[in-house]
Amino acid sequence: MNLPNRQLSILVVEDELIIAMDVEMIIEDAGHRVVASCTSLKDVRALPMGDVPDLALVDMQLAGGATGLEVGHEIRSRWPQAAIVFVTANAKKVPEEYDGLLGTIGKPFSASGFTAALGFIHDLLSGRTEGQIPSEFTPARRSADRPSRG
Amino acid sequence: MEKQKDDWTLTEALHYEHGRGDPFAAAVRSTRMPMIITDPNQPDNPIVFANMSFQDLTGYGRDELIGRNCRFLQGPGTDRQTVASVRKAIAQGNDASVDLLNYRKDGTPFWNALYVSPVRDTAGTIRFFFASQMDITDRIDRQDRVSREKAVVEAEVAKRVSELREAVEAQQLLLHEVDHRVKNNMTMIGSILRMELRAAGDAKTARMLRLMMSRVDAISTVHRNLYQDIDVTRFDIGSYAVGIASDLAQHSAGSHLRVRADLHRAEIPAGQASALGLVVNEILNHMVQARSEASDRCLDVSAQAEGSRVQLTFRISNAQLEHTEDSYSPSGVAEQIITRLASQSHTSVDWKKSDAGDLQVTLSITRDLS
Repeated sequence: MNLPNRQLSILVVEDELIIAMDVEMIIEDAGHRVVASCTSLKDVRALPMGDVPDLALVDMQLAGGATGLEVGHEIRSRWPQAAIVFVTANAKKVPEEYDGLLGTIGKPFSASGFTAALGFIHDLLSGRTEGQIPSEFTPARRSADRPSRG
Repeated sequence: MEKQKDDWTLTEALHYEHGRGDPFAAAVRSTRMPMIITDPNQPDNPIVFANMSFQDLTGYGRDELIGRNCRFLQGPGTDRQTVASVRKAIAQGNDASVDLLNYRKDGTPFWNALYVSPVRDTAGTIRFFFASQMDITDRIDRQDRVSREKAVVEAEVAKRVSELREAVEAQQLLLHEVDHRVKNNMTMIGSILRMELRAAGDAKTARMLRLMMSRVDAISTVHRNLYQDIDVTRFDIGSYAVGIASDLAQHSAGSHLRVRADLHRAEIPAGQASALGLVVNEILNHMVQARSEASDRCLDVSAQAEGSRVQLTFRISNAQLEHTEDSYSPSGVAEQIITRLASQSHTSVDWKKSDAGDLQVTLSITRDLS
């Protein structure tokens, strides 16, 4: 029942700083590690390559012109094994097929809902696919591109 | 003066004013209907007679008409296909009835309702062609004007439809934008509360903040689920209640709480969603109070609908509530929230405690079907 939990390295991309801080704390409370917190595509490009994220939580609507979709592509091109999860108020804007996409967390989220979603994502990345999908997480329709964990 | 001969040869004698002309000729001569007669047995089928009305219509005098083929009435606007159909009819010895654009001597065009028919002798040989004309410019003009006006109206309508469509799209974009901003703002409120909670020094403050957060989260959840589509008018209160219950189960420190769901389709109108969402949240928070020494508990959530009524039932075993013997339902702010919001949503809330320590709460919701 209780498998050893691997700590995930998570990249946060969110331009509302209070929400970003909130997400960072939820991540840490759940026992994972924040690689970095970026507000834009430019920030992501400036990150060092050495610190590899397992997962990126990306807000779909960012200030400064670029969208979450572009940021996701940039992350995947730098770190091809990184899983992408969009955090968005409008799940319908998420495209049917997106390279590396695990799913979406809806806004507004609750702390418990976000935590439950993180738990489920962690299970997915560890190869555990059973278990109920938490209400605040919408899995991507195509899971063929899910990165596997050794 | 030559006497009018009573045979098929018509001559200028038709214009003979004095003496008796044959009545037929007199009729043709004097009628208001423009008429001509042509002789196909002469080269190029020339006009051999044209009455006064024809001369008035076309502006040509008799001397300018006799001996000419009537094609001189055609002009640049004349439809060639119509002309060809008349020519074909004449060649085949048939009648022709066409509307043709012709031109007067002064160059002005007019629409001519032309009727041509052959005149045969007793042997069946065509001796002459008889043609009547009528100026129908007014009618054609009216038809044209109606078509043009119709085209203008249709263009206007198309433009209006396109404008309206753009307006609806703009409105939808705005709605999405506002909706997105509201959702971001609600997330922010939750985030700020969590910041305060983390900084809270004492347990009482922490508990109050957690309670506030659960209320904000409840409305956020309603909002998140409700406005997925533009035209969502129904809210699944059963699934929502199970969601709240599951969240509470995860957070109940120390004790193990199992949630069981028995849900039938139970939807309420969107207008009642926020209020009843908050009521359900208050009730469940009260029922599932975290007690470190509490033993395993089970929370049953059931939902069903019949007609205009929706019924939600929550039942928890081993309630272990912080309460006196007499009152096991909430008091204070929680009680006010439940009572007022339930009342405004045409909902009755019934609390029942069994001797075995089970607590059951039943909500009877009357759906606002207006």
